[in-house]
Amino acid sequence: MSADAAQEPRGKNGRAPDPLRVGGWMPMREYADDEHVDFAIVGTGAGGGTLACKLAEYGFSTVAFDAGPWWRPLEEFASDEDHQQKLYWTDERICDGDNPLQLGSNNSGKAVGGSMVHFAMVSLRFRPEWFKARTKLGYAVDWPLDWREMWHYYREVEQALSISGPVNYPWGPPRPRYPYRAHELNAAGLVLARGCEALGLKWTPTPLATLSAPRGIAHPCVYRGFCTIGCSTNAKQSALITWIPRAVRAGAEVRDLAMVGRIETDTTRLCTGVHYMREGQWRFQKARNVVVAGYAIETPRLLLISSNNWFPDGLANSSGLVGRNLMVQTNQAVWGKFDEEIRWYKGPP
Amino acid sequence: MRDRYPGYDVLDKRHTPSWNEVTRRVIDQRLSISREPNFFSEDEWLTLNAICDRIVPQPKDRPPIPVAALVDDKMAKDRTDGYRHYRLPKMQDAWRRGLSALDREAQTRHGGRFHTISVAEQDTLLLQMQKGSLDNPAWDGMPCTVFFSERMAHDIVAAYYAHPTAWNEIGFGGPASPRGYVRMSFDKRDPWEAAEAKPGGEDEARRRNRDVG
Repeated sequence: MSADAAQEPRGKNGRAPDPLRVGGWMPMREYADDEHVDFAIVGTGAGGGTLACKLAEYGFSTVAFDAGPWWRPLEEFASDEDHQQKLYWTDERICDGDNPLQLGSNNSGKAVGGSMVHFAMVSLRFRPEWFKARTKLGYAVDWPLDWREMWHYYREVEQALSISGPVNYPWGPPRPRYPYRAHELNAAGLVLARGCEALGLKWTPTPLATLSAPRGIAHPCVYRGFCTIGCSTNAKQSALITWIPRAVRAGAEVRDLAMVGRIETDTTRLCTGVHYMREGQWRFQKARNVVVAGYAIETPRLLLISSNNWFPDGLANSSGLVGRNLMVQTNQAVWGKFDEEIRWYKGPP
Repeated sequence: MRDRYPGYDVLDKRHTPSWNEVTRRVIDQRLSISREPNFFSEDEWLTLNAICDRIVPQPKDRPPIPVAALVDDKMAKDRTDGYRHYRLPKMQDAWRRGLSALDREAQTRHGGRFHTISVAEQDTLLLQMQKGSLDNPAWDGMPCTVFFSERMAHDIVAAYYAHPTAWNEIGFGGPASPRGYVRMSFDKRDPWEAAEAKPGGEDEARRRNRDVG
């Protein structure tokens, strides 16, 4: 195994790790700190990783930063829940207030690929009526965009990530075929299907971001059931093995073990770049645009600690709402006992 | 306690395609963990071991899971969770304060340190801790009930179930990369999974479990 990814940055000296090959590398373009890049992106997960890829493919000079390491799953991911905590953002965060958030260690990721490295792969589309929640359902607010626009992007992502899904989705407007066939249900899924049928409800296998057939050199999902602690076989279509390699090939630079601590603005009240810590040194990357894509906790944190004379309440906070009413990943689970053996630990969720 | 998975040993799979190299290294390290504390003092160590014996009591007919040592390892490496209830001090401080407060409670209420009082007295104290009715000044503002659920039981139970012996006990398949599983449906056991003994079927299960490796 190569040097410890958690100690030494891997994305440097003109190369980046190839997460699909044991010990693999690929060439990576690099930008100097004093070069005004078009975009500095903070975070490389579902938001930042995807954006880095698209911007680079459109020809923008792009540097993406992640506080965490750049893993090669095939050789570095164990089938062990405790060990794989290395994927999580476990720096201390205090849950306070009248209604403190109930977090888990896995709320956000600290790795190239972000939380997608350990996400449960559930790849649903938001339904049309939810984009008009206030008008049609009487709660929350309407979204500022039409559902058709978003559904156009869903299709692009589903294709890019080879989502496995059902031939016929039983609710909402017709949608195009999922690129890969649906996975077989595990026994826990069959219990739910049986329940739905008893109640006369429609059901369908969940569209999932894990391969049901080979893709390139990645094998189909082997149903090992450790999805939420990182996929060691690369069947999971996380940003780490999809958007990030594509971004690097398109000319983006990704800096691992590089934690952004402050966004700088100038007298014109526009941002000029980011201060980041890498290899024990604070450095400054010049950039024309800064994108903050670091989860519901670290994103507002960075905006708030970047306050200055012009923005005493933090950046992008004229509403005063940055960091308030924040919502993290919600989770729901039901446990039960059945006559049959369920062996819940097998298969994707 | 009845052995539901007679003869099942997840370690038999160590050299099969269910374990990759990095998993072998990780589990070997866990199995070889030092039984001496690196973080806790001698006094704290006695109290911690006594608590572990009550939270996750272990059968006498197999080598015990070194629960206290696994908790100690987490403290020594300061492997934090990423979140902390605002009423609790930092992880290491919470443990030190909690152990010393529990010893004080044992002293005042039962006349001896926690590890010296009877099992029934220990259970009474732990129940009171869980319910929030311990109030010795040694808690120093830390609610004993929050310490119980968010720190103490959390770390002890997680340590117990991180050990292969606990996986054997509950019939968990354990590491599964790169082989994974094939049979997904009801009552479908892959040949490398634990077989559960139905009443009267212990020998059959034992025979199947011999072949998981």
